[in-house]
Amino acid sequence: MSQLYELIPYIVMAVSALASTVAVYLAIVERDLIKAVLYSAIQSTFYALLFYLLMVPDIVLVYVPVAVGLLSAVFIFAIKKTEKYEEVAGIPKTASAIILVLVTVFTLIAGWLLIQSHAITFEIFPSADARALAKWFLNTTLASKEWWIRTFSAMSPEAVTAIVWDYRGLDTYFETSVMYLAIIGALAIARYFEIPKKEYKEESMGMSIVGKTATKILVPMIIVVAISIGLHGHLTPGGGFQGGVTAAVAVSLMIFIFSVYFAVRYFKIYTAILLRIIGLIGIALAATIAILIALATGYHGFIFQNQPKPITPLEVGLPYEIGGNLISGTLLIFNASEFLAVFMGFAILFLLLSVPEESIMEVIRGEIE
Amino acid sequence: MYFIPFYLVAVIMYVVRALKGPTIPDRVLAIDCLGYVLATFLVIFSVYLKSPLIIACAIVLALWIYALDVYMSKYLEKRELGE
Amino acid sequence: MGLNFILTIISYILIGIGAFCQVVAGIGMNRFPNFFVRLHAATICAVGGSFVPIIGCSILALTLEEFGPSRFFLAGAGFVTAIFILLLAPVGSHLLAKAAYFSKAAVLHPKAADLLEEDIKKGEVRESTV
Repeated sequence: MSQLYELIPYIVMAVSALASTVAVYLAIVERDLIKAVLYSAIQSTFYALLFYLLMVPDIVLVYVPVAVGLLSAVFIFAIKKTEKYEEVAGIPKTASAIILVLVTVFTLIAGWLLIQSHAITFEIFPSADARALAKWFLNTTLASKEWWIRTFSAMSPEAVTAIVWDYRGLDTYFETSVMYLAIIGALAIARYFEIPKKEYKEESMGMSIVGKTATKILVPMIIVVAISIGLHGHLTPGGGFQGGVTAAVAVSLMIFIFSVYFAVRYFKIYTAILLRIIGLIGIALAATIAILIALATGYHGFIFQNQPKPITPLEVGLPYEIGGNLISGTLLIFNASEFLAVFMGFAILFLLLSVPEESIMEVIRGEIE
Repeated sequence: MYFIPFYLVAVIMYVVRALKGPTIPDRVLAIDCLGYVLATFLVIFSVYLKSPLIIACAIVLALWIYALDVYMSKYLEKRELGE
Repeated sequence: MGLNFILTIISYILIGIGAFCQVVAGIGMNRFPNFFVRLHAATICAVGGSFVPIIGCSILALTLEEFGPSRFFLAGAGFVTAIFILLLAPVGSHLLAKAAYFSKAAVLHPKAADLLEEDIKKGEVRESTV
């Protein structure tokens, strides 16, 4: 019987992979678009369970907000403004049944091969036959005080955040710049859209009074939890991006439950753009801070340098603890700035999407004539 | 833990209702309940697999499933989203 | 018997109640005839099947001393999840039911009595929420 209990995580992984494949297939062939959005939400929750069982909580914290929440919100805005049914002739039924059977068989064979090759383990400490690259990362990101490890180390026990912001920092720089360019593109298309200044009537705008009272209690709690996930990125799973998308729930709830005419009194688009720019300046500053200190004192420095490197004549770098608490140098500054930048980016997105349709039509008519 | 198979049976039953329900609010309610069962399952598994740092995922899952509820009911109820 | 033993027994009982309530809610969601009756099954799922076992799991985590100081992190995050589910699930069901009734997306078919419709006809409640 205990043999069966050893197999439970594998059985759950197999069932959730199969269920997500079936849900994706149903989402593709469905012609009523709201049902397709709901099937896609089912697929995302099963993917979250699958990533959780593979022991990567950082990816679950990114995947659940983006796939369950923001994707559904953007699609619901698009369906409301355009059409609800697709008028395309679908795939004939026999071809779709054959495709579904082939995909299921492939999934089962791939799962059995993965289990046979021992690529998946459930222990939190690495087993003896891990790869050499994994051993090198795990030996040098954990906090250690010997001098020859501190040449490579980021001095934080959370390996994923250390790799994202310190070892592969240039990759993250390019990803952040891609997201920045996307938001600039959206703001450029929407340069004349304005939310009109309507009077906010308490009883007819927004949703019912039960929702409003619950939201007044919940929004501060959500923001506190999001700040905790964001700033503790070098100690627990989390980090700047994960905290930012968790705080985006609070903004979207404020805009949907109270109406946008109420949210705009306290929070305009220009405020959000300004705070986002402050966050991005914080990221750029943390990346080049070692060079600035080195230029000021006349010694060597590198970009994305976290801890002092003993190659230089005098060691220049950031401290790894303050008063006994571990802060890991640049990782804290990166996490705080990324939290602010992502939170404000999603606030801009929701504010731009909720401009009413009449004012958009006026702008488009004014540009054509 | 001897109670884990009961949660898995409940997951399968909610998925059956989500695929079968004739109206849209039926499916949204089934996905709501599916999200809460998975949040409970994640908390129990973090104790069962002996890794305590993994539990922040359950908070985020519960919050965003509630947000999906709010989006769908706002879509059904008002003529203009954002009003 | 020490304090740890009593807390372990209590937490196992709470997780058992949660498992039973989830199975009952699953059977109820499939066999009830109507959307508005299925809201009762959803309440059992949310409160009896999610709030109670998560509280039980947090109490169980406090007794296991092999985790070291991170057991307090697990217990705290568990309590926060339980409070969020307790506050959020009823509000979500209320908003969904109100939207489904006023937009006529779900009809009350095996109907015994509909008092809200009589109030609309009398004029005390507005007919639609646009």
